[in-house]
This record gives sequence, C-alpha cells and structure tokens, in this order.
Amino acid sequence: MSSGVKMFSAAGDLDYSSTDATWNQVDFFAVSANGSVTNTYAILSGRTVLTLQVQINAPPLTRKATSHTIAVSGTSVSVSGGSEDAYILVLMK
Amino acid sequence: MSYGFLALNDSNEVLITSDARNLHFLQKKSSPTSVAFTSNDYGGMRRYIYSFSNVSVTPVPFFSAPTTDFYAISRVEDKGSNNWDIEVIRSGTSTSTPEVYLFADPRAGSSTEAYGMVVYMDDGTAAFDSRLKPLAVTGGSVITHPSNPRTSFSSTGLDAKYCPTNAGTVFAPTEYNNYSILNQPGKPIFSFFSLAQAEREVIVQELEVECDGEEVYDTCVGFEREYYFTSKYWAFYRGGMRWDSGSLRAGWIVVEKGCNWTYDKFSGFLGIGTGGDSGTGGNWPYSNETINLTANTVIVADGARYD
Repeated sequence: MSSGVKMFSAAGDLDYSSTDATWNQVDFFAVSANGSVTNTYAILSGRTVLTLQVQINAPPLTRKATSHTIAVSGTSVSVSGGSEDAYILVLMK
Repeated sequence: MSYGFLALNDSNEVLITSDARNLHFLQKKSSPTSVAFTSNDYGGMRRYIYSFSNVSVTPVPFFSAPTTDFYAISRVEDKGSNNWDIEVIRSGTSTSTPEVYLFADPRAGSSTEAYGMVVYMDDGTAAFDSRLKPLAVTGGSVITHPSNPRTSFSSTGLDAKYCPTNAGTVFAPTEYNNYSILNQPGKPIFSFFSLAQAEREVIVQELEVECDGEEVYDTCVGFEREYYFTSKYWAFYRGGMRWDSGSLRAGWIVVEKGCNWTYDKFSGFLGIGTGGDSGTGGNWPYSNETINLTANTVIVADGARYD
C-alpha cells in the first residue's frame, strides 16, 4: 500500500493494517423471550450496519422457536417478536 | 467525532475507532468438549458442545468446516463464572469435527507484549489492541434458506404398523440455495447462527382384518377384528451453511426425528365394538411448517491467521 497504517508484533509479524477489513462491535445485548428492545447508536450514522442474532438457550426440539425481528433505521436498532431469549450483535464498518 | 481515533481501510470502511470495539481472537478449541447427539440416519446429524472458560464478555464464535456438510452455531450460552457453551450442529456422517474460534472485544483479553497499538474508548477501556490478534474479515454473504428441505416427501416404503421403518431416505434434506464468495483463504472460518426451522411429516395408514370364522365371498362369518394402523413419521430441521471451495450453500440439517403410531380396533360378532392403543416416537414441534426464513448472515475470516 502507498498510504495507511501497519501494526507489527515484537517479532516483526504484521498484526493488522489498513488493507484489512473488519466489522466493529457496536453492541452485544440480550433480548428476552417475547421482549422488545430499541437502542440508538450515533456511531451508526453513515455506516454499513450488520446485525446477528443467536439463541441463548438450547434450541427447543418440541415447539416452535420464533426468531426476533430486527429492524435497523438510521441509527436505531429495534428488536422484537421472538419467542426465545437471544443475543443481538450490532456491527458496523 | 470531535476527538478520539478513527482509522479507515482502503475501502473507506471503519477499521478502528475509539467509539466502538474491534473483535479480537480469544481462544480456540480443536475438538468438542462433548458430543450431545449423533446419528447417521436422515443424512446424518451431529450436535457438539464446546465449553470455554475465562471469557468475561459475550463471545462471537467462528467455526471451521472440515467437510462439505452443513454447519451452524445453534446457541451461545453463558454458564456463569465466565464459562460459556457454544453448540454447533452439523449434517453428515463424518467423524471430523469443526474447530471453534472465539472472538470478543478487547476487554476479555490481555497481553504483556511491549509492542503494538492500543486505542481506548472514553471510559478508559480498550477499543482496539493490535497485540490481541484483531479480527480481519475476508468475506461474507447474506443467505436465505429454501422454504422446503426436500421437493417431495414420499410415503413409498413406509410401514404404517408400529413405525418400523427407518425413514432416512424420505426425509434426508436435498434442497439448498447457492451463493458464491470469491478469493477466500485456504482455511476459512465462519460465523453463522442458525435461525431457520422446518418440520415435515408423512402419515401412512393401513387396514388389517382378522377373521376367526370363515370368509364367504369376502365376508367374515364369525368373530372379526379390524385394525386401522396409522404411523406419523416426522423430521425437524434447522438451517445450516455448507462451504466447498468458494461455493456457499444455505441448506438444512436434521436435528430431531421420530414416529408416532396409533391403531383403532373394531371388533365383534356381526356387530361393532371399539378399542385401540397408541405409541410414541418423540414429540414433533409443530406440523409441516417452515419458520424464520429471514435473511441471515455468514461472516468469513482466515482461520490460519489465528492458529
């Protein structure tokens, strides 16, 4: 690269550089079964946002496990409608 | 921002910022702590538990895919006292097991190395620490699972009497959606959380007649019993992803199966009496429905970078 940043370890290995890409963690929060949460993050303004959902408890094998609906609008992330406890991971780049 | 630190990468995306935390490599397990379930029927199914200790924040797990079967993370559970269980499900019959890599924000890690760069948030905790192997993403895709695990579920060969048939060939999943992710590393690792679910069932019925007397022109003269046998074979699926040299598939993994049977008995001598019985092969979660078909995300990174 002609410009940017490189970070090396003490052994001289390249740890990270501006040719890399990543998703930065904005928040990682829990939503309870049948609960709803709306959070606002100013840092999301103008950024690409990615949300991930993972169940907390052992997935039930004897009934439906409806996932939460996640809506991202501007800097706001809303989660609701799921029948299970879940973690919501908010990422941006 | 009016103060702090912001580094963008060559694509003008955020690489490091003092307003959010990078994910950093924390721990890796090369094999499961325990195998919660295994079966070679119905296309094969495995459920692995990977237990981790000394993880002080909620981790983000990635897994390797040593075979071209379907994989997914089905739960991340806080066991208390900084212990976590990660559950990985997989299709197929191979004995190979995935490796699980844990990433977390830098508050969960520490380093005594004297070289590197640390970026702090305004609360004094680290947002980025180059000494802790920050996560570098190599690719990803938004995927959606097909609405049906198979195009058809045939009752051919299924016996209605007391659920005797192995229905693996009837329910083994075949359908998937295909995606392409180019230029990925030789050892990709994936973060993918299973959400999609489907249940399918096939009901077969049979009538059996017992005559204690003589049959005259297909009519029983004497005591007669009629048995109406019904068997409900079923399978429960969860969404998974498969990787094969740049080809990413969104498909299905059977995680539970069973069969329930009943019979009704009608008996008598030139009259009607009733009776019956039933047996169970597990409880099916619901009937013939696919849920959670929302778009889901796969994130890809280079596992070799963290080995």
